[in-house]
Amino acid sequence: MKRRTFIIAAAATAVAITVPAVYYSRNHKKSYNPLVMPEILGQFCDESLIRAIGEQYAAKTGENQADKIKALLLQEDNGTVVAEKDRDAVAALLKKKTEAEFSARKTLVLNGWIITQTEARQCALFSLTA
Amino acid sequence: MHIDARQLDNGSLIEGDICIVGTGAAGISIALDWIDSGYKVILLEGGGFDYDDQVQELYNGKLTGQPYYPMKSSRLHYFGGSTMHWGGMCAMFDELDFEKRDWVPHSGWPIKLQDIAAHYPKANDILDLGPYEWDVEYWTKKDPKMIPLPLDKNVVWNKMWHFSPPTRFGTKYKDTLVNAKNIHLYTYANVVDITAGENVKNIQSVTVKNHAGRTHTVKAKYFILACCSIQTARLLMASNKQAPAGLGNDRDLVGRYFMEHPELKTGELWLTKTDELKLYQIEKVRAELAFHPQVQKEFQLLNGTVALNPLPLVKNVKANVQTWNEDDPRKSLKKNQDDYGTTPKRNFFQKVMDKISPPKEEKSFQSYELYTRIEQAPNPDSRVVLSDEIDALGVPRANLHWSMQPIDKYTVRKLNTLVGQLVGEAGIGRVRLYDFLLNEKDQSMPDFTSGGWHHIGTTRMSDTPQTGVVDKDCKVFGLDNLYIAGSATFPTAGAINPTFTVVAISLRLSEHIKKEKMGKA
Repeated sequence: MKRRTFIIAAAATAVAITVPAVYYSRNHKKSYNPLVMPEILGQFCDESLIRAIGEQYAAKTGENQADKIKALLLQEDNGTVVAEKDRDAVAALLKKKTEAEFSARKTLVLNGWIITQTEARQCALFSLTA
Repeated sequence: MHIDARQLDNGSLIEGDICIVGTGAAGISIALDWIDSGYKVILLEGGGFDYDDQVQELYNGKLTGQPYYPMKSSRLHYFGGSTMHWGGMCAMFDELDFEKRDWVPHSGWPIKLQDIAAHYPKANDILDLGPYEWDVEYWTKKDPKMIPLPLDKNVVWNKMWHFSPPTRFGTKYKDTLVNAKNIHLYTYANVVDITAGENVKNIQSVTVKNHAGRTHTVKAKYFILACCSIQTARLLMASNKQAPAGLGNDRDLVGRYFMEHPELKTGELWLTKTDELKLYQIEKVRAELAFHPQVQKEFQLLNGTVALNPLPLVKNVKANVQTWNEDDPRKSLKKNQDDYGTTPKRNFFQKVMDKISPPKEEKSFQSYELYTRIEQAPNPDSRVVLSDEIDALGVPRANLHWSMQPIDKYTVRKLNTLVGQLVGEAGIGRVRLYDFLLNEKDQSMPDFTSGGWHHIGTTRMSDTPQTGVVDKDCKVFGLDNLYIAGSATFPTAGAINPTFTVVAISLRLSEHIKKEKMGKA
């Protein structure tokens, strides 16, 4: 492949690869529900991938009931439960949990993605409810 | 001076003080060090100054085990050796590479990094590596755009690589050596046999042959085999008229512990914001993610590094082992020229670099491919053996069995998992591992695992003849005047390409012979 042809092909590949991220960032503001969409992972994975990750997690762990997963996600370490309707508070809680799990190296590999249990649960909830 | 051994009368006797067998990075570096020394140096090259397929054919042999590059084309057999097609990537060994590590069987050198460190600056010059600056801080200060990723510094560090132009030894140093009065370069002088003295305590001579039917004898006070891991092992094992298993091979160690640097695409880094990651791209220098000794110890890992290449540019690039697969190196070059374009005066390796270097108009990317290179764990079953088949000059061919172990795959998986965890912790993105890493029970390396064309081991260095072929000074145990130069002597491979260290350790050997044997400072 000549260099110019290669650059064009590479650029095309770049567009294809970044579509899911663009898709999510555009739809992010309107309907973003942090409970069912990991903030960072959601930038790179489309709905079908999120669903697949969630299904893999549920199959692996047996966590396949939406209510239970939701309760686990909304509960802080000290037992406090964040209101589901307060999306900003939910987003902040899930971000905090995700960061802590990464720092503690508590991660899973699902569909190849290295993610935390919290992110995996978000995906599982997505696969069960969306 | 230069002598074509095909033009000498058959049966000529060539005599000198030092005889160096091979004109690759090791042999030429040593020869350069002896210019104007007052000693007569015999420098033997099996080929000529240009590629000759008849000579190249002498390297042919069979492969078993892990898929590998064809024997015939994985080394070049003419003046300059494999520096005539190398890529130029250089980095330093780490202190840990020399240590005995409980979790890496057969690890540990009889020397330390500081024993060769003094020779790195001169090697730096020989290889035209630019400023002798190997700390990331120097480069980030020089170019503020070369910013390290904000990953946990207790786990990873940024290991710097320098890029040689790449220096072609056969081109750059030809005139210097040919014009040196005390360097006697013989081309078309293939060493086919080594003759030891009485009781096999030293070497008396080597026999050289060529396709013109000329056979000559070379005598010297000291002999240095600098013809790369596979051919050095082959020559020792084939020199078996006085020692049944070959010279230096009383304990069946010659040919064993052949190592490469397994390297392959392992995953993807996806960033929340596009970034050119300039520090990690191939320019004059680049960084790769390396792992601290305590991390290697904690997780019982081999040494390794992870490079970051723009994913859109490299996603469709095939593994080297899948494309460089012709017996004739010229055919592989042609094939890869078809893939990589036909820019004049750019060889295959340079074109690979062209390809993985972002084009000027597009430097910032959201996704990067993780490309992992590790040291291969020393493995006695990964080895060079003699074939029943003989080559055109009557020497048994070398066959190679390249074999990996579970720790190799485990290390690749764990290093990339760590990168994924650190990236997540830093909140800058996520990492996706490729499918072959997902099944933790699968301990095999995939068929698309490439090597770096690095032939390491086969005559390993050790404190004792029970565990090695050469001593800490690269002298073959039991033979007073036979030395081995280059990566054949490495007990472990380190995580990085070997050429820089090959030159440094060859200069150390050269100094040793000068000081200890010849009494010259």
